[in-house]
Amino acid sequence: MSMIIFAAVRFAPGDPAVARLGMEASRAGLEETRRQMGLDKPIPVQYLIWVGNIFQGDLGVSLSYSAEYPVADLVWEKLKRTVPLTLTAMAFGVGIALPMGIIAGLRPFTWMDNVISAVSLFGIAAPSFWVGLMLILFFAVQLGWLPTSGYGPIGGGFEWKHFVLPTISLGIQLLGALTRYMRSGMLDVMSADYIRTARAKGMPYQVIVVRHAIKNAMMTVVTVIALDFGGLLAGSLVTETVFRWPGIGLLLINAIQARDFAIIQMVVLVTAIIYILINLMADIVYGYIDPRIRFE
Amino acid sequence: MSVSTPAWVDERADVRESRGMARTILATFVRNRTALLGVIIILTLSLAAIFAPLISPTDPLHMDFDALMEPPSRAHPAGTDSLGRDNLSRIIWGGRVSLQVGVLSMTIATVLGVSAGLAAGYYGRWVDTIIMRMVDAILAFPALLLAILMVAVLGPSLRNAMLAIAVAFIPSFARVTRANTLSIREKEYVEGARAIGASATRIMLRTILPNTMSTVIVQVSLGMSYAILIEAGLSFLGLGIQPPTPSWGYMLATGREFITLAWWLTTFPGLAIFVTVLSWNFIGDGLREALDPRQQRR
Repeated sequence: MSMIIFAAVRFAPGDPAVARLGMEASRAGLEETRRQMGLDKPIPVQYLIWVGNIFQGDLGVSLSYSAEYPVADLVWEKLKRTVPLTLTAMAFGVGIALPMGIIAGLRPFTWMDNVISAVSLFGIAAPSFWVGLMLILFFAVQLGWLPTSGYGPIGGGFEWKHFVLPTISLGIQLLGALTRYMRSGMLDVMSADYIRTARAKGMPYQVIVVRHAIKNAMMTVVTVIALDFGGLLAGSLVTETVFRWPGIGLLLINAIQARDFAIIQMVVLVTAIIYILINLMADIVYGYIDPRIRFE
Repeated sequence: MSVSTPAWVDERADVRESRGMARTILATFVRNRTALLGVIIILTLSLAAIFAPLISPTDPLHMDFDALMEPPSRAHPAGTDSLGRDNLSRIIWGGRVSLQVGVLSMTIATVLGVSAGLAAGYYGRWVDTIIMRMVDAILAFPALLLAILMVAVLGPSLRNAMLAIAVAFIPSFARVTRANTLSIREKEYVEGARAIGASATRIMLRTILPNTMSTVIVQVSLGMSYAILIEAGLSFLGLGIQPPTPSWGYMLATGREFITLAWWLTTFPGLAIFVTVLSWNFIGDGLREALDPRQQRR
C-alpha cells in the first residue's frame, strides 16, 4: 500500500523545486534544490529511502513549509486537531442514530418512523459541506450564537463553541446512514424466530428488546460504524475547508496546491493506516458481540 | 454461433418468462410513490440540463455590473453573484456538469467493474485472486479520499474528476457481480449452455450477465447519488471542473466567501445537489424494492 501511495504521488506532474523557488529560478538553482530534496535519484531508490526513513522514525521534511520542519511533527500537530473533531462527530452520529433507529425499527410505518426516516434521508442526501454552510448561515450569521469558523478564539486557546457546527456538519451523514441500518436491523431481528420464542415463554417486552433484539441488530451497525470512520476522516477534508479548521484536511488541501509530496504521502498513509486499524477493531468487537465468529 | 442449437434447447426461455416478470417489477416500482417522484424530478432536471442553452434566463457567464450581489428578485429569481451573474442560470448550467459526471463515471465504473467481476467469478483461481487483490487495494481508501488523491495527482479537471470517481466505484460493482456470478455459474442452465458448446465469453455475456443485471441496476442508481455528491465535494475543494464553467460544488465554494452578505449564493446550489441526490436515492430504493423480492414491503 505504501508503494501505491508513493508511486501515485511521485508520478504527479509538477515539480516541487519549481513550486518552492518560483518560475524565475535559475536552472542551476533548481538542480541544487532537487539534489537537496533527493529528487535527482531514480524513483525506486527514492521509494526505498522513504520507506527506510519511515522505519527509522524519520518521515522526511516538508518540501514547502520549511526545510527544517519534520513532516511527522506537522502531521501529528494537525491530527490533534482532526481526531477530536472526528470523535465528537462520531459520538454525535452514533448517539442520535442508534436510539432513532431502534424506535423506528420497533414501530415501523408509524408517524414516528416516518419522521425519523425523513431525518435519516436528509442526512444521507444532503452534502455535508452544504449542511455546514447552512448551519453557519443560520446559527452564526443570523443568530450570532456560534462562531463561523476556526478552532478557537483568535489568539489561541480552546472553546467548545467552535466544535458545535463542525461536529454536526461532519456527523450528519453518519447519522443518516446509521439510522437506516439500525432500523432495518431491528426490523429483521424483531421478526426472527428466537424473538417469537422469547415472547412465547413470557419474557417481558423490554427485556426482549434490550437483551436480544438490540444486541443482534448491532451486528451490521458495527461494520457500518467502522467503514464510516474512514468516511468521516475523508469527510473532514471537506468540513475543515468549510470551517477553516486547522487539521489534516486543510493541511492536505494546501499540500496538494503546493505539490508538497512528503506531506501528501504522510497524510494519505496515516489516514489509510487509521482506516485499516479501525476495521481491524471492528472485527474484534464483532467477536465480542457474536461469539460464533471467534471460532471460525 | 458456429454450433447449431438443438431444437429442444430453448435459449430464450428465461427471457420470455421475464416479460411477465418485467411487468410485475414495473408495477411494483410505479406503485412506489417516492420512487416515481424521484424519476420525475431526475427527468425534469436532466431535460433542464440538456436544454440549458434554451431555458436558462441569461448566459451563465454574462456579467451584469449593474446587478452585483442582488438578492432574489423577479429579474433574478435566485439572485446574482459577486460578478453580477444570474444565479438561477448558473444552477441550470451546473446541472449539466453533475449529470455528465454521474452518467459517465457510472458508465465507466459499471463496464470495468462488471467485466472484472464476471471474469473473477467465472474463471476463478488466479484470475480471481489478481482481480480481487486489486479491488481490495482500492478499497483500502475511503472513496472520497481516493478521489481527492487521484485528482491531486492527475491535476484538477472535469475529466480527471470523472475518472477518479469511476475508479472509486469499480470495487463495489466488481464485488457484487463476482458474488452473483459465483452462484449463477453453478446453475443448470449455465451447465446446459456449456454442454452445447457455447464459448466462455458467450456464457458470461449472454447467460450470466442478464441474470446479474438487477443488482447492478440498483447499484448504478445509488452510485449516481454518491458520484454527484463526490463531484460536488471535489469541485468545492477546487479539484473538479475549473471555473468559469459553473458547477454546483464550485458555486458553494465561492458562496462561502460571501456567506455573511449573500445567503442565496450558498442556499440554492446546495439545494440543487440535495434534491438531485435525494431523487437518485428514491429511485435506487424503489428499484431495490421492485427487483429484490426479499425486500418486498413487509
